[in-house]
Order: sequence, then structure tokens, then C-alpha cells
Amino acid sequence: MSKQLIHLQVVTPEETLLETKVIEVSVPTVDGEITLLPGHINLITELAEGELRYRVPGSQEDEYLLIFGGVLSFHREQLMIVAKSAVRAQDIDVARAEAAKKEAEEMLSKKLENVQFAQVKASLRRVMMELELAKKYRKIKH
Amino acid sequence: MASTREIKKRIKAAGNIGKITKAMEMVSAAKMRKAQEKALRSRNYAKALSIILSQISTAVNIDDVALPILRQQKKIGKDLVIVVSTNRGLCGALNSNLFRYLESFLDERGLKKEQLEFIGIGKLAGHYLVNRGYKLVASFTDFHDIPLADEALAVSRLMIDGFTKGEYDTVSLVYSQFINTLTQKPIGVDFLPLSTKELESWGKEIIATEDLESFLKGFILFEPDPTTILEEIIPYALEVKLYQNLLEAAASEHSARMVAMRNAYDNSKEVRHELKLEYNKVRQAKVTNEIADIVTATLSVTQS
Repeated sequence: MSKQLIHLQVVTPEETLLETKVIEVSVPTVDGEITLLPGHINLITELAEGELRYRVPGSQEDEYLLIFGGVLSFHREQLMIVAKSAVRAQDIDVARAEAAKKEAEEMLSKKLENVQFAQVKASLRRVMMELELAKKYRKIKH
Repeated sequence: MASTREIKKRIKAAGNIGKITKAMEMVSAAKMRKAQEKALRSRNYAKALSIILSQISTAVNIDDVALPILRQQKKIGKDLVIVVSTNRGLCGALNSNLFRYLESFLDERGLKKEQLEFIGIGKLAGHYLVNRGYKLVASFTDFHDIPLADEALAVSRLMIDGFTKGEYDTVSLVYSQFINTLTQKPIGVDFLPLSTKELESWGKEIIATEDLESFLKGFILFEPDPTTILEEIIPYALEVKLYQNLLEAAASEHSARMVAMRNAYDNSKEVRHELKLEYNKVRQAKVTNEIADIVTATLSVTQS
């Protein structure tokens, strides 16, 4: 096996969420999920919402990250993920997400203007994704 | 002359004000540092974006790309100005300087009241613009003391939508630039239309040239194609630029408040000192008077 590793960096406007060496990364792109291994061709592509999986060397388990759209640049083993927003599976606050989900559902049951409706819907989708990943993550870890 | 009790009350009041202003000064100092740290952290994002922008520019000539966001549509004689003020006062002359600058900025650009629309960030901008009879299309007053990226996103979406729909010829932003703790300078920056020159030079100062060159070597595969990615990424670039400006404005606000509170604290100490002096004078006068009374009384008794 080659010793080459991918240098993965996930940045959001607020912080650098993650910077680590990995042996494998799977990302959701607009054309479906792709997996990057060391030695991949240089690539720039648009990302979709979804989960990002990566594995650090020596580990048997994947780590999970939720990303909400962005752009990926892979260049000579440097993988930059520029995400509008992202959250690590272990950082998802289930209680808070549940509360946000409830609130969003309540708001949707009322009549809203179009713009507001779209906003609430988007945030609802987001917390649903968070909850799903959190559930999955807990199953794997425990 | 005031009674000693009255003066004592005033000394206490001055002391209390001193305590409050001292506490506010410390809070503002902490918030200022946080805003600066956040601005620093978001630089990585800006850096990553500008690397990708440069990579795209090796594949396509950005000048030839026909994206609505890069071009001014037909002129319609309407412009959008975003004004970033604070939500609260007690920050010295920060806001009045900002508004004074705003007027000269508009004059300089030859922008007339009738052709302008405004987005106000912070309560004070909203009040000012409405009072002056400007057209305020949106007012954001519930931003955090240290703004979140989502909040910048809301504003940038509004401005990008307005521009790409052809509602505005230009979009610019007026905010208080953070120079150092003691100095904040109001400044106006252009946002849209985005010049390709700016796009190309964007973030250059934060990337070392050798770094960038290594990133530009070799073949790059674009999925689906460079133009689509460019279209996707430009709003990010604008958003992070706006976000950094908002953070800088927040740093300015907190540093101005810190200095104002420091001055207030120093003042309260001075007032307390003066009042104490007066208190002692009054007390001394009282004692002297009493002694004089007793002496005259004793003298008149013994001499008769």
C-alpha cells in the first residue's frame, strides 16, 4: 500500500472545522457521491448537501461530517472542502436539533409567506439530516 | 453650600457609575478580541476560496464568462447602499462619524437621494436613515454582538438577488473600519458589480505566491464545468467578504465602546475625587463653626 495520504481540510466561513491526514474520503457531489483515494486526478467540483465520510490511517471506523453544499478542490493530495456550513457528527446536539425540528414543524403548520416558508423548510431539512446522522453515528460508536 | 449628606450621596452615585463603566469596559474588550479572532479564522475560508478562483481562472478567461453577477445590466438608475452601524449607543462618536461619512460618500459618488435604497444593519442605522427620509428596504437589528456567518448570508443573499434581478446598478457597503483599538475609520467599499480584476486579485495578499503557483500547476478536472463552479463560488466570495466586514465593524464597535467606557470610568474617578474634596471642606467648615460657637459661648460665660 502506498504511504501517500490525503491532506483533508474542511473550512466554513466561521472556522476551519477539520484538518487531518486521511486515507479515504467520500463526498456528496451534485452528480452523486464520489470517493477520493490518494493519487486521484486533480479535481474541482460542486458539492451537494449530505454526509462526508473519511477514514484516518490506522482506524477501522469512518468518521462522519454533515456538509450543506460547497465546493471541493483536490490538488496533489491537498483536499480542500469549502462548505457553506458543516457540522461534525459528534458535535450534533440532539436535544437542540429535536427542539429546532419541533419549532420548525409548528411554524409550518401555520400560514406563512413564501419566503419565510422556504426558510423554515430549509432549516427543517437541515435538522432532519442532523438527527439522522446523529442516530447513525451513535449506532456505530456504541 | 450643599449639606454633607447630599455630597455623600453624590460620591456614592459617582462610585456606582464607575463600577458599571469599568465592567462594561471589560466586557467590550473581551467582545472585541472575539470579533477579531473570528475574522482571523474566517480568513482560511477566504484563502481556500481564492485558491479555487485562481484555479478556475487558469481554465477559463473570467472576462469572457457571461454571468449576471459580473455584469451591470442595463442602467436603471437605482443603487443599493448597505450601512453597518451598531445596535446600541455608548460607543463615543462611532455612529455619528459613520453617518457623516455616509453623506460625503454619497455626495462623492454623485448618488441622489431619489435613486438610492438602503439596507440598515443595526438599530441606529435604521433610525438615522428613516429620520433623514431615505428609502430603507430592509433593516437588520437582531444580529449578535459578534455576527454569525448565517447573518451575513441573509444580507448577501438579499444584495445578490437584487443585483442579478437587475434592480440595482451598484451595491456598496459603508462601515466602520477597525484600524486599532483607539482608531476606527468609516469607509465605503464596492460590492457589485464585481470586477473581474478584483476577483482575480482577491485574497492574493493572504496567499504566498509560491503556494499559489504550486496549486496552479497540472491538469485540473472540472465537474461539471468551470463556469458552473464559478457561478456557484462567487456568492461565497461575496458572502465571506461581507462577513469579514461585519466582523470588522463589530470589532470597531466594541473597541469604541471600550474606549468610551474607559473615559467614563476615568471621569467618574475624577468626579469622586472632587466631590470628596468638597465633602471634606464642608465637614471642616462645620467643625470650625462649631468650635467657634463653643469658644464664643465659653468666653461670654466666663467673662460675665
